[in-house]
Amino acid sequence: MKTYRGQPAIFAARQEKDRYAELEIRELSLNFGGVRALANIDLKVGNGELFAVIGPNGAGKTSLMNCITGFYKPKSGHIIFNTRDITRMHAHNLVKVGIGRTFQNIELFPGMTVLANMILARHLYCRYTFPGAGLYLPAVRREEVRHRRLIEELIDFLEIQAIRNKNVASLPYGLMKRVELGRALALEPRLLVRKIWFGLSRRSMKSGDRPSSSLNMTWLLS
Amino acid sequence: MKEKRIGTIDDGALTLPQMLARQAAVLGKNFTAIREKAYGIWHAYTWEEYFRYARITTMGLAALGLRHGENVILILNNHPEWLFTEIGAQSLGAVTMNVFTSATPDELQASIQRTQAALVIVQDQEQVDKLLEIKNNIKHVRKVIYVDPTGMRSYRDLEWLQAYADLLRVGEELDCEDPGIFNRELNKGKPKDIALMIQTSGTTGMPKLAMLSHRSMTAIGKQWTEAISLQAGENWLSISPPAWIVDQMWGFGVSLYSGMTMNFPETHETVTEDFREIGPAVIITASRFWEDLASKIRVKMADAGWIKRRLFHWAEKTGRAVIEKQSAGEAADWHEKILHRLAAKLVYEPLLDRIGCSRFRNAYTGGHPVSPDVIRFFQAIGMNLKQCYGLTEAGGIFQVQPDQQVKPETVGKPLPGVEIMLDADQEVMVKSDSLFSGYYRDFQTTEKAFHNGWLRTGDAGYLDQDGHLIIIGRKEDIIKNKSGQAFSPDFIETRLKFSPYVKEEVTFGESRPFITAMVNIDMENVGNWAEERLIPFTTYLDLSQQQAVEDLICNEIREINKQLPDLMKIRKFLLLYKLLDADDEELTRTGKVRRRFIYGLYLQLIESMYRDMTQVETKGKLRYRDGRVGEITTKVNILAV
Repeated sequence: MKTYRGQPAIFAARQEKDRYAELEIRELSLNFGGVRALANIDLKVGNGELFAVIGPNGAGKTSLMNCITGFYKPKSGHIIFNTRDITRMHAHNLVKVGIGRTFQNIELFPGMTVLANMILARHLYCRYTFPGAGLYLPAVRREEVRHRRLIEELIDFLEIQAIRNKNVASLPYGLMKRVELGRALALEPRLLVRKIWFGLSRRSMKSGDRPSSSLNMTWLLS
Repeated sequence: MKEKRIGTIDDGALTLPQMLARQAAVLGKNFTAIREKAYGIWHAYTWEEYFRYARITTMGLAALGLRHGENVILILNNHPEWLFTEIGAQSLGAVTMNVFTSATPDELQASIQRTQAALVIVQDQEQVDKLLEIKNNIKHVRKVIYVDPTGMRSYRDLEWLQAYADLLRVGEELDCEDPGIFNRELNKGKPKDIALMIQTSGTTGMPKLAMLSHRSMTAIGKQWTEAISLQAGENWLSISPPAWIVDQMWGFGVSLYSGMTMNFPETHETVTEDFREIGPAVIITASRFWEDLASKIRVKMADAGWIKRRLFHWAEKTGRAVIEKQSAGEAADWHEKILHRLAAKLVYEPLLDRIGCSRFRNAYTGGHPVSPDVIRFFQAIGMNLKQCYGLTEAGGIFQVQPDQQVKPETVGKPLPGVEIMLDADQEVMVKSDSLFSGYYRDFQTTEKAFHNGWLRTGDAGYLDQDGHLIIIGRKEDIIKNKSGQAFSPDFIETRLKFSPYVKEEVTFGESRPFITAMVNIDMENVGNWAEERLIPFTTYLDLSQQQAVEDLICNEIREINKQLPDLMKIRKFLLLYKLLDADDEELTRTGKVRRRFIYGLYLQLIESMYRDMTQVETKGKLRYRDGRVGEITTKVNILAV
């Protein structure tokens, strides 16, 4: 029943300590050959904040995001997340630390359905073993159902029920963005680094707004 | 689930909440009362659970001080909460009225003020925002209860609002404290009490509020259950808005009487998919649904490969031949029978399964009269689509086509327990237990609606030799041209609307020498058609004024003109630069054309069609979703057929 909806359990049920996020960047520099992309960047994102980085094309917003999420290795400086230095960590390990992201150009699997794309994010939290999954033991089944339920709550939250079984490739751009956000949320990140493209319509900006105000998370927008 | 025919309950002596109590005792845990799709799966509620929810909702409403005779407005979508809250309010003797969720704040204000509602129950944040906008004008509303809490976190401090989940909690507490209250309130109800009100669609002027008693609803439930022998556990898919009579009649009258299961789709956009999963046994929807479906099938078929296309045309032709013989009362030849069966296996069955219609026992179309061509089309592909006829004031639909008597032009025979009669003016009159009790605070109109206990429907019609009723159109809509000959615009419009390229059409010709038409093209189908021919276009406005599109529609009209008597042929037409829209008050919320209003609004364009003009410059207004009004200046071509 709609009555019992609201915040997806994935976020509502989380303890304060499990969602604590503090990001600090100290004197971060990045070079591409002779081009200086980032020069001595200092910034601090506090717990529960919504922090936006804005600037014209080529200002280095995306480079900064890519450094934080482990896609680029900075030349010098430090990135500290919850008192831990993550400057040299690999992207897949950063997800475990609690940093999720979306991309400017959508990075979904176009040949897979929306549901499959989203449930893939839960891979990180799957506890079962390969033989167990092969036999589809009751415990595996229970866990699959739990993950599916969490994903379904996100689908409901993002209002994408009508497309859950559609191939991602067949969707319009705005919906793909929403699916990508859904996948990032399914990672249960403490900090979500999100690329917003401001060429979007007012309406899609508005619908993008809602998650930021109603989920217990720290946001970094660029 | 096992199926069992429910013996006739001592009908007529119970109110709707009492019927629910009875069904909960009889069907209890063995039958599903409600099914809702949520989080990707179907959740079922038994009759016992349904009753339990209704009970604690009642107590929650009682805690808010809702009393007998007060009015409650509901602005809800099709979800189980709609049933729980409506029956909950009725248990306390309050009168409920549903309003369309698409209503603008002004429309809501009018409805709420008119009924002096004590409580308003709404779906979600969208509706709450509308009410907050008009809060100062509806001070008599004590509380607003919202069902869906999504996005409502920042509204927590507003005392005027209450979540439905909280209402249930309070209700449960109160019920534990004093379990006697509920039964006392339940037993106070009398079948003659007013249960609910429905806004009549109002093709002419301000909507009227028709009051329906518990007795009316149980009577219509009984008539339907007996007419098509409905069984407990059969499926109904609730897709038409609760503010419309059809789902009120089914959700409260028929479902409570027969024990049918009410199924609620996940969202409005997933209806097609959910429809397929449920495979309902009966469906009644607006004619527009079938018209859209028919044109979708045709367009898809036109795009299909050569083999599929040929096969489909052959199957449709075979079906039509058999149906035509059947309706003429003749038996089909043996070779036709074999071909028909072959066509069913190869084409009809896979097609019907594809659109989720394979389990229909009965499919009905109501509301606006549907083109006989649409009915023939569906029957030819093996679907039992029949016309029905009814009106809010009669408690719902009372006239349906019987099985085996396929007559596309008629609306069939009355249900058992209903009588119809024609007066001297050919106006259809009806008498039944399900008739309404009157219009809310409008004694004069109520008086006019009845004649010696018969209800005047306002529709003109006649009976054919088999006693089937044929509706000509709204009595007030039948128009006379300049030379005094009468014609029905409906008659012309329904025929033209069968063209997949025509979305909506309004004809004019009152006291004029000939008939003209204003046409809305079907953006999707014409858009596809244009794309195939590499005709570039941007918006609706642009597409509708293209030369090629004008020729396309002109040809469609020529085709239709061939079927019409000389008097009713369309001589000139224009393609309107915008779609007719309920937000602009051009359509009613159920999608009927408000002819007189449109006539006034587009008088300049209509006048130009009766002069020797080929092009006219015009200024129009457009209302956006957020209520802003924009202006549009454009040239419209006037085309002769």
